[in-house]
Order: sequence, then C-alpha cells, then structure tokens
Amino acid sequence: MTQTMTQRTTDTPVLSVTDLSVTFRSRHGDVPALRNVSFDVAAGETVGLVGESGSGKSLTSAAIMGLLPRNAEVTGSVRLLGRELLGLRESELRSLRGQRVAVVAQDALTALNPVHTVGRQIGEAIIVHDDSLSRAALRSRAIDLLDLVGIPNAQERVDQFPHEFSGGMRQRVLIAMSIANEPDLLIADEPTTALDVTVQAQVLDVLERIQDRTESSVLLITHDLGVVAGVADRVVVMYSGSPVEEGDVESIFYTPSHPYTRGLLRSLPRLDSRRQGEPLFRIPGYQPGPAERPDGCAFHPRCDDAIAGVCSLAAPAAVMLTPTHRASCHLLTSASEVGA
Amino acid sequence: MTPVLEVRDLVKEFHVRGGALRRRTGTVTAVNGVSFSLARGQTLGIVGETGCGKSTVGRCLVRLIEPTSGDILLDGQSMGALTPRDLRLLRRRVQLVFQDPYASLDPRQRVADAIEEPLLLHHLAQGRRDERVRELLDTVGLSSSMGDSYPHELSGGQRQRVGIARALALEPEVLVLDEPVSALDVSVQAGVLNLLEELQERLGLAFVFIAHDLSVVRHLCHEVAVMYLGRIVETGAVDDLYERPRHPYTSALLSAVPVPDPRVQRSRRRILLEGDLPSPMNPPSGCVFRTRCWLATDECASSLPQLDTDGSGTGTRFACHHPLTPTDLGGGPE
Repeated sequence: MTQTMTQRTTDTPVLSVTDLSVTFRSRHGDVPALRNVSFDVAAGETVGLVGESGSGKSLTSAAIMGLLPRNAEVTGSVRLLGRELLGLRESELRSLRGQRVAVVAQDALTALNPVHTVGRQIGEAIIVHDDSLSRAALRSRAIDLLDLVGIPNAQERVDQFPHEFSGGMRQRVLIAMSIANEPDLLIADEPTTALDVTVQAQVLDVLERIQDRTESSVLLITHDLGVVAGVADRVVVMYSGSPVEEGDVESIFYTPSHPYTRGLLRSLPRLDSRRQGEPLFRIPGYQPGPAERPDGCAFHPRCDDAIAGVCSLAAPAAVMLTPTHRASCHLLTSASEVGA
Repeated sequence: MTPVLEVRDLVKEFHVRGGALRRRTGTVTAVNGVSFSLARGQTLGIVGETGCGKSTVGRCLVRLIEPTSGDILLDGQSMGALTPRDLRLLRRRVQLVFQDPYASLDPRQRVADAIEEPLLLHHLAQGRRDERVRELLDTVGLSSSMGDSYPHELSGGQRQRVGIARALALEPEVLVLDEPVSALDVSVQAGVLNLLEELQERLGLAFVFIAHDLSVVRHLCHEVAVMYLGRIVETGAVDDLYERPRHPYTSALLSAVPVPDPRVQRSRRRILLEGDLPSPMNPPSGCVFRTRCWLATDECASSLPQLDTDGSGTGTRFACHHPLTPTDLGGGPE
C-alpha cells in the first residue's frame, strides 16, 4: 500500500503514517518486522488497528511513539499534525508524549501511586507539561476530567486515594490522566485485553465518552473484533507486518474483501447466535513470522483462492474498492481485469 | 440414565495464614456448595470472572486438590470413599487439559515422549506404545513426524493439540478443559474448537469447559453454569440462558461481551456493574451478588436465594430473589 487513503475533509490528518517499515538488525541477519504500513487518523476519528499476535499492530504503535529498541531501523514517515516524528531527538519526543500523544496505560492496579490522591496524580500529569495553573485550577480541572470519564461524585472522589476506587473506576482514573492535556491523539494499545468483561465494559464506556465529548482522535490497537465493531470509525487489518485491508467499519464487517479478513470474521464464535453442530471456519496454517514470510502475498499459503503463479510471486498492490475501502489482494485485480 | 459425572455440594476452603507465626487468619471459601451433573457426550460450560472459583472446581474434579467436602461421582460411583489404588484407576477416567500450552509442556521432552508418559505411568498399551502415540497424534490432527519435535518448534495451536492428545491417552470419559483456547489467536482457536467437537462426537466424551469467553462457550456448550464468588448463580441450557438470562449477574455479563457486528454492537445496551468483587474471605450476607446488584433489597441481605427454577417455562435454574422476567431482556441500572 503506497498511497494514503484520502480523507473526506481537507484538514491535515492528526496522524499520518506513510510507508512505515521497521527492520530489526541482528547478528543473524535483518528481520523486516513491519513493511509499508500506511494509514491516516483524522481529527476526532477512532481508527481500529486489528490483527492477531505477531501481525505488527503493537510494533506500529511503538514506532509512532518513538519507543523502539536501538537495533530497529525505521523508514517511512510518521507525521503528527503535519510534523514529522521520525528522527526527532528524545527530548523533543518527550515533550510530545503525554501532551500531544498520550497512551492509555493498561495496568490500573500498579500504574497509580497508592500514597497520593487521584486528584493530585491527575494534577501532576498536567504540571509536567504546563506549570502555569494554580492549585485550585488544577483541582477543578481534575474534577472535570473525573466527571468526563464517568466517575460519579467527582467533587468528593478527587480527594480520595486509589484504594478507595474499584478496579473499573481506577481504569477510568488512568484514562482521565492520559487525556488530561487534551492530546490530539490517544493511543489505546489492547486497552481491554486481560480484563474481565465487566471491567472491560467500563473501559469501552470511557472510550465512547471520549469520542463524544473530546476532540481527541483515538488509535485503538486490539485483537478483539467485537471491541472494534463497537467503537471504531475505520479499521486497518494487519497481517504479518503489513496492512491487508482498510476501510470504514461497516465495509470491513459487512463486505470484507481480503480473504484473511473474511476468514478471521468467519472463524469467530458469536455470542448472539449459534449454529448448532456447524464447525467454525478455520484458516489453515498459521501466520508466518517476519523471518519466514513467503514471497509474494504473505497470506497466499493459507489462502483457499490463491492464484497459482500469481500470488506466490508478487506482493499485491492496494485496490480501491470504494472511496473508503481498499484491500491488497490479487483476486481483486484479476477479477476486474478478467471481468469475472 | 446415570450421568457420567455428578458433583454434589462441592466445597473447597483455603486457609489464609499470616503474621510471624503463620497462624491461620482466615478462610477463603473458593467453591461453596456447587452441584451439577453431566451426561455422556455433553458439554457443560462453567463461566465467570477472575476469582469466581471456576478453575478450583476443575482442579477438584481431577483431584489436583482435595475438596473440603461434597461428593464427586463417576458413573454413579463416589470418588470420596475410595482407596488410593481405586482412586488411581478412577482418576484415569477424568483428565485435565491445561490453559497455557506454552507452560504445560516440558521444553526438553519430545512431543511423542510427552504423549507416551501417561501410558507409561498407567501401564497402558504395553507392547504397542509407539503405535498408540501415532494414533493419538493422528486423532488430534498432527502428523506422526511431529512426534520427534520439541514444544518450541510447534505453534500455539499445535501445542494445545499435544495437550489434548496427552489427556486422551488414558481414554478418559470426561475431559476437564480449563481455558483451553484463551491463549490462542482466533484463527487458530477455531481449529481447536472444531477438534473438540469432533472428538466429542466420535468418542462420546463429556466435557467440563471452564472459560471466561462467553462467545466460545455458546458455540461449544450444551449447558452452562454461571459462577460468582464460589457459587453457581444460574445454570441451564445454553440457548435459554443466553437468550433469557434470569439472574441479574448473568444479564450484566452477557451485556458486556462485545459482538463483532457494528450495527448489532452499537444498538446493544451495556449493564455497568458498580464496585468490585467482594473479598472471598468476607463474603456478603445473603445473596453474594447483592452488593453490586441494582435490584437488591433488604431480603437479599438477609436470606440466601436457592438455585431453582420458577416454573415459568425455561428450565433455567437461578439463585435470585428478584429474577429478571423472561421479557425484560437485559434490563439494567439506569
């Protein structure tokens, strides 16, 4: 995928990732972990980056945040509101992190300091980037934030300590801290993974509140297609280090066009219906690691419809299916050429 | 017909010790009066959140831990009153498949040796053990050449198949599956779930399927038991329970599971529970769920609701003083 999907608005996207590739250098040779990742996140938009483990979705977020280890070679471009992030010095990145780009921390039990009130901790997140506010102003800002993330009685809760909050409420406090500086982009990397469903429900509730009540864009990285179906405006499906399909959420779920996306959706058991005795669809084989990735389309060894002599030779280019939906698959190009 | 597995009033307490003298400072009742029965060829799903006691039930079933009280019957025969020798024979018939296929295999043991080990321990298939190992590999869909591999050479799905082959080696009647697919990616998970269904049909196995993923449970199970703080709060046939939950907790749990369908998911109403799971060392009086229940009254604090049907049509049994009516689907706190 080389061209970045055009936005319907003329505004600069909040995040623009173009041809992002990450290669790890090692004694045993180079490992091309990410290849040509391109996507945009528009203002106020929530983009879901989905894929199974090893697809490169978390590596993409680490590359955006500039948090890769030293042996990683990064090429391409990551622009935040038009400003190139790749190649920035650590000090410059640090001023962006937490202010323009924030991350939702995962572990609410350990991420909060038990000896300070939640109000003080939220205040700290603000002071780090802006020390002009008075104590009273910080406190009232903390109350607003607690209220925004759906904590009842924020006036009283602001002076309480983390142990006085339930697990779900602590998750909300953490998210309040990450949006304290009104970041342009909030990165939520597997925010619901390893949480019990009732706590997960609280996190999803906060994400929806942020979408409704703030201007922040959200990059949601998850393997849970149910979570994506509920909150994402657009979806990027990753497979073996590259995006294979990208589109508005309805296109991805109702007219999936890459065989991998289709297989993934068909392999999911559903809560709301049951086909008694009918086996689940199973994608044969497994996702190749970066070192064992086949030539041509990375998915072709697992694809039922792979075209002999085509899919194993060249990597497929992205095909625009509608103005908001594209997929990288030879079947899509050959179908239009043959007219089948 | 006698159920292949029956559990009567199972209780498991753990003692909590503290202080310099490691004195007993409290008791956690991890499983508190759990009863169910399971017929041949059927799957019972045990669901609930972290700490509800579902894995402890599984461990009691295979006698990895000794129940404090209660009875477990296999084909009508109680496991409680057995001599160690008989217990060993009986134990063969209930086998456990572990959650984490990465941690449950010895990294230095070849796959074939891992599968052969239970045969050696129980003196089975003597003289034809290699053949039996190949059969077992074939049963779980692995090629016999894979017997020479070590666990690190296998994918997660393949490892879980090895775990299943190991459990099947003793020709059990009941398999206890403790979160067998939760460490697997969805495209791999589908293959393992299909294998389990196929094995059940072919071998007439009964499964106790312990899981937190309610979508997987709906797909695989015939009956479901929902646990909360050591007790079963609702149990019944899978479709009844999913479509007409009667216990508020079941309804909250189901409402919280995201469905991979944007239009459906965006029209569902989530019930958000307040507070945390109470400490199992100090459970609430009366109904264990009342501290988080939006329908709780004084009655719930004073008397423990019994697991029963209310004769309203579905055979679902629930332990609640104020059950949801079959029509007020997914009603929740405002």
